[in-house]
Amino acid sequence: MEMTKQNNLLTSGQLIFMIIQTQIGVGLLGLTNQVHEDAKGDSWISVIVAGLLVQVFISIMWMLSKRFENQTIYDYLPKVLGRYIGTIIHFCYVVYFMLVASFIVIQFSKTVQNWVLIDTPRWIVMGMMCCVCFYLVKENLRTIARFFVLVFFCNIAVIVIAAYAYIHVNFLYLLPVGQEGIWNITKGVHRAMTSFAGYEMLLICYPFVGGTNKQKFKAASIANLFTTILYTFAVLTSIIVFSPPELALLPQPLLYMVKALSFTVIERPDLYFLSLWAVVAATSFMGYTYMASRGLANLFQAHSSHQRAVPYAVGITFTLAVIFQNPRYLYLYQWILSASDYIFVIGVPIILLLISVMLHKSQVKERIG
Amino acid sequence: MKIVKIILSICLLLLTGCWDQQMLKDDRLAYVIGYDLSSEGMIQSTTVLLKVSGLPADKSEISEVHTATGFTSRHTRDITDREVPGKLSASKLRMLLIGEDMAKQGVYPLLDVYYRDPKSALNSKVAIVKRSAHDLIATKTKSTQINGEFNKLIKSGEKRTVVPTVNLELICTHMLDPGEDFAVPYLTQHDTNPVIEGIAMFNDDKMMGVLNSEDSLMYLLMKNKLAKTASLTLEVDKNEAQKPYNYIALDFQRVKRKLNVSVDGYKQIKVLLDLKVKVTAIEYPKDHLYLNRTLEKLDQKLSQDLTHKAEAVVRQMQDCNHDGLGIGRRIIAYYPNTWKKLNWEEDYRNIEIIPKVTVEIVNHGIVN
Repeated sequence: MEMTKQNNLLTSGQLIFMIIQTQIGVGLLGLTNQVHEDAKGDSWISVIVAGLLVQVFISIMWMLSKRFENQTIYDYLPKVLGRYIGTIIHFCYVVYFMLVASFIVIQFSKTVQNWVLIDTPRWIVMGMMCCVCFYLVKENLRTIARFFVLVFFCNIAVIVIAAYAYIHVNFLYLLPVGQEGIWNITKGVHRAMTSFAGYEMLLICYPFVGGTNKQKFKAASIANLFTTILYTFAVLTSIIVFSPPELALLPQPLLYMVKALSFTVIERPDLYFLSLWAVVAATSFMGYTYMASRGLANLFQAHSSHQRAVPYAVGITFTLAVIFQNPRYLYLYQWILSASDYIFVIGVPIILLLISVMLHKSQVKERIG
Repeated sequence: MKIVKIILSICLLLLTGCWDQQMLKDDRLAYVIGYDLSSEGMIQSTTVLLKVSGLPADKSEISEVHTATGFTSRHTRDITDREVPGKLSASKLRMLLIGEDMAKQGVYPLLDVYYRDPKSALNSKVAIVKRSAHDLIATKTKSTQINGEFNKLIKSGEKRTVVPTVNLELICTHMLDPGEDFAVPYLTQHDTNPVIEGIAMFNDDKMMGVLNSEDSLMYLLMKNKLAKTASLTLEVDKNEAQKPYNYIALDFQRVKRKLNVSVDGYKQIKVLLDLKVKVTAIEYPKDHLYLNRTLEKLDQKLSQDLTHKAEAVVRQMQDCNHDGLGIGRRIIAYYPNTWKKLNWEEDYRNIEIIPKVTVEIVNHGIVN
């Protein structure tokens, strides 16, 4: 058991970065185009609303985790739902996390192929991503968290590069505010939700974080705040740089808008942007692989460490990615994910919370991991 | 296990980037590309390759130029590639010249390949050439080799507020936007040299007309795009015996623009364009600029003249259906309901745009 000792715990500060890095990932580039399809010039409102909604879900997860302070969701699932249903849901969670992870890999390799490595076979890019991920996730949680803190600067650098696009902007593209109506903004919120996913890390990390419940809640909220701000910045910038019909043509507007910039020494800043984004996407992938491998380990042996399950989790993820990389499946894949996102990230925690409140189930007096 | 690890790491070191390496020595970089409409309605491209200095075998004084005719711009590139030793690459393109006839047909189909290709140089300059881009390039390359000539010409024009600062990426935004149009430099030929004649005004992706270089300065001021310097020579008098005494040259220091779009009732759109400019008199042989009375008179006279000039430019823009001021975008933003009723392609000509320029001479150089 890896977390019984106090000094093996994460600090609540590290929890912030764990969540941020898992949330911000491949979605960063594609978010604007996705949301813009429905919400047009009001996409930024959709993103902010999505951020607020996520805050509500974080509160629900926190209330749930608080009741089982020293357990991960995998530990209390069978206790709340009974052994059989609990195990099935547990299994579904593992599958869900693996699907998300392989989706990240697919999206990553697709973007890299479109923008830089045009002739490199997709599986090589996927394989490299998986290797890097395996290398880190097989370490303990503290090492992972430290790495996430370390690469946080990539997000800042991404903001700095994108800020150069403000040389040519037209704020009129934002007006009139609310032009698309509530229904389209709501659809935009739905599209943005998948990019926000990653805060479910809270359900799994919770017992491994030191500090009071209040601190943990604060940490998760700060993480979500940062993500919301970064996403809103990304979307807002894309909207005011490109006219609406052009934005509809661009799957990765953030990359496109820095492509034409040229400095005295540096040309093609999109390549620098892409390199930094690769790290951001990798951490997101690592976060999901961690959650999946912990689930996988606990499925076979309760309270076991995630480390031994990592090779299997990465292997399955890689296989899934190779199989489903065909763009024809990708659409279906995306649809399944956005639907299951609601089930696993919001639906199940709410049900668990309701049941545990009604049946007065909460923590059994034992510390387990 | 250890041996496997060592073999793996050696493999990693030796097998890097086999697929996507791009050697500069294999590539031939296209530096300037010109497109013209050929007589059969096909596209004719003229490609100037960049001279890589330091190649000892290559001492000739003129640039390598290739011409090809095809159905699309990509097609012509493929044909050119067959002629060129080495792989033709447009990733360092600096200048894209388009013949006038081609531009009148629409430029988006030509440029699509540049927008689609991740390696293309979106910061390349674009210009329209009077008559034929091919002739301009060919005559120039007959005598010397082209390096940055076109590019430098355009850049100095941008600095002097004669042409707008645009590149491939920036025009795309306005090309697709229904509420705003773009303009690009318009070049012509003087002897063997390219000269900036003014700007070519577009509507959507089709060229509609030309503003000469003095009008284009006014146009850019109205767009609030004063670059580093902008100078203009105006006639302020007619009666002096010696001709130069009739003129004043101004250097624009600062421009303050107010653009007010108002809609009264159905399709009654009124645009008030208020320009306040501060200028330096950089040439005025008649002088007496230190006298307040002279200054006030001049200010008034100049304001009047420039307002007339602005009105003329606006008329030309409306005749060409060129919404360079982005009035359509303002209507979308502030009067979305009106916009839905409008057919901008038709109605733009009929809206009322009233420019008003107020000039203030704030400086007159180091003499009194």
